[in-house]
Amino acid sequence: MIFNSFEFIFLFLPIVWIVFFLVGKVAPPFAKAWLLLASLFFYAYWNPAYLPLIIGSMIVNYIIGVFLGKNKWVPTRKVILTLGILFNVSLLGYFKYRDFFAENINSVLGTHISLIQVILPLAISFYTFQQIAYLVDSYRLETNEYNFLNYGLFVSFFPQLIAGPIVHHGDMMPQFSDRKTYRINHENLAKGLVIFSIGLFKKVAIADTFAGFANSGYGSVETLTMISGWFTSLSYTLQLYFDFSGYSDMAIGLALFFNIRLPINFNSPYKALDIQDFWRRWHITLSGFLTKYIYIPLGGSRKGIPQTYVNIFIIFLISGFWHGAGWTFVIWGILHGLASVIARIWKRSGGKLPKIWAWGITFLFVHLAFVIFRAPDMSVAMSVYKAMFGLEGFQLTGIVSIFNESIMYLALYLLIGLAIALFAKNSVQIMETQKRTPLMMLFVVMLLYYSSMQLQRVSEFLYFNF
Amino acid sequence: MTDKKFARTALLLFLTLAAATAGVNYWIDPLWHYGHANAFNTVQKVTNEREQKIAMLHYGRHDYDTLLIGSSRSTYIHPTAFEGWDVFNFSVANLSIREVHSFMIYSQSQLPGLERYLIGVDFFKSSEKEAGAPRALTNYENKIDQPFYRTKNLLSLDTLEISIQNFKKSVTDTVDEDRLYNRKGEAFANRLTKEEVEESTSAKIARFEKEFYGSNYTYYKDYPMILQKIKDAAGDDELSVYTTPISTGLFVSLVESGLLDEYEHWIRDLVKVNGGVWNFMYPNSITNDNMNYIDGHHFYPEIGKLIAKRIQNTDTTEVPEDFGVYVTADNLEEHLQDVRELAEQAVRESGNK
Repeated sequence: MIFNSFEFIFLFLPIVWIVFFLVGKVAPPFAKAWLLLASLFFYAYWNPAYLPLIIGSMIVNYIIGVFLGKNKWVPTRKVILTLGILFNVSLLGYFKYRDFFAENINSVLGTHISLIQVILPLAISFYTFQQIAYLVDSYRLETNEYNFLNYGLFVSFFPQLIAGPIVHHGDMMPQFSDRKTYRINHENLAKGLVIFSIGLFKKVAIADTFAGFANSGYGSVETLTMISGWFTSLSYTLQLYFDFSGYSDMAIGLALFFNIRLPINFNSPYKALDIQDFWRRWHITLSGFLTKYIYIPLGGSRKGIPQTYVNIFIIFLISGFWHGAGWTFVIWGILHGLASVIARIWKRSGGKLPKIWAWGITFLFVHLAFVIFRAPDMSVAMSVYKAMFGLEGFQLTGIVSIFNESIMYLALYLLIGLAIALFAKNSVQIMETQKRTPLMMLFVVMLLYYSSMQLQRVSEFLYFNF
Repeated sequence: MTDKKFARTALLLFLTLAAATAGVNYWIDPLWHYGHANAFNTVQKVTNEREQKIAMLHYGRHDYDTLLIGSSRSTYIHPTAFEGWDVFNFSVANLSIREVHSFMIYSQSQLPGLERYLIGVDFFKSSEKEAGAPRALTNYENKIDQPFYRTKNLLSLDTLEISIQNFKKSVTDTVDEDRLYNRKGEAFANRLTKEEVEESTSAKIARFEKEFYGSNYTYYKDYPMILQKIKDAAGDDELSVYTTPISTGLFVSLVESGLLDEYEHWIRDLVKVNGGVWNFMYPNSITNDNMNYIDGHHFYPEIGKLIAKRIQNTDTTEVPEDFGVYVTADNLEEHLQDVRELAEQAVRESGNK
């Protein structure tokens, strides 16, 4: 189930919410169990076949975590932790990366390892990272002994299950234990409505519009010229931001409906003035995880400058590979790793740019790197680059047929999208700071109404008269 | 404003707006999911005939005894034009001959009392280009089988937009488009002036010459096999195949682009597989009058009525004598010779204009 669906908005969410607070009033543990069951149903609705996988993963990690947290059989703890991490990495490796490695081995060594071509289990990248963090912290004795309901909810709580934010057990499980969570809190409800409606609008109205343009552009790369190349790449840059941040906003809002606070995941990243700043604003919870559980254990910045640069490079390489099992993602990670190292060197040498230049270079780099992120392979990415840099000509003809939209409107949409990304208040800021005025309420209602009435598109059949 | 008031009022307003949208969409029913008729939904726009008609079939009556399948041309044959037959017109825009079989199979699953099939075929749809690619109704079957399909469509601004248009057209009883339906599934077209008809006919002929005729046309070698599949699907039930009449101007264009031999080949195959075919596609008193057409390609419902009457009753006097010939192996060569002569005459007359 996805948030921007009829089933979710008009059926699942109201039913789960009403039962949660009705039961929560009299028996919070049952409300908790209800929420866990609802979350598992939410997960299984997409593909029930993978339900045993997430439940199995939760049980194994919970048992290992509890064992590590009890600090018994001390000599075996490190081995158990290693086995636990290997278990998680193996699951992820098998479902997400096995075919990638098999294809590459086949092409380099001429072998014929068969491909499993399995559909990637939903959310596996997210819940694997969250559980690895839980195991590591249990080993470090930073976890208390939690009950399975709290643990199960920390892993599977439906607002953050599919696309994050990546949550930390230390932030989540105490909230599930708090009795206040099971009483309706109107402040959270109001805040949740504000940010959920913004997120839904970002996804349905903005991201999906740009998705149409980006898909059209990437679907006809051979016909792109300079202007259509930039239209294509900018559409994707905006689509990705509004889609992902919209989904995170919805997750934050949904969690607030249940009195659970999720961490901010996007903080106006396209306003960043350097690449480090960008990664402090883009997918913040991923950066936090990689920093805490990979960068710092590798030595962070404590082992000298060259090692620091190597460590930075490693986390971006992992970040790239985490995003997808393909060379384009690896190259995207490498580019961000290199850019981050260069930015650090530049800063250490005392280099400083005027703000507008700093922003321009950062945005341009992020934007150009997203071309590779989106492209199915490097040849497509190179075709888009060639078009963008004028190597395929400058003609304006054909743009309308590619995007099914006039040049003027395309440019206008892109300008509006960019203006929102660059000048509008962040959705979390709006949620936290805007007063609950009647005007604000109307704004929320209109966003909700417009977006939720777009969930079923009815389009006219193109070949009308034949 | 308190948080409580903010949250409650916002939710209440949102639910009210959503309910109002669903209410209007139900009332006007522009996607043909519910079937009720009222003064405000008598004129219905086409959004996607495949989806609309499959929904109508799925959610509506299941006691039809006759199924009519054809392209957009056949949409203008009204079920009420047939006397004593209870016809469901499943004709849709851009129908490929490859789709007909899937339409029949799906209809059989919905209409247990089917006894008769009427299949309208178009010459230009017998080319490799038009008949070569596999097509079926499967996507639409899956679409309407989705959970909450009808409810989802009630909660839609797209649907609301069509509802409002249908409401306006119904209130003013306006038929101002190429194809609008009533609640019985009967299609109507706007009435054009002579000048408008001449203009739209010329444009359509130019388009056919560019896209379908001449070098764009190669008779699809598996066409008879597809016809056989359709015949087999009808089983022991009655099956009537008819060709759709095009304006003489468009027929002349076919002849002048060198396709008369392919036309004959097509008629021969229709007769060979089905034993007989109702042929309306040749110069005759109906096709000679461009005012019987919207664009030289789609005829008006009154011509659809004549087709219905001729198919039901060979000797009817309500239809011009030269409109429609039932061609069998016995009269095939004679009929084709007649058509050849009519074509030559039409080409000559067209050259003299």
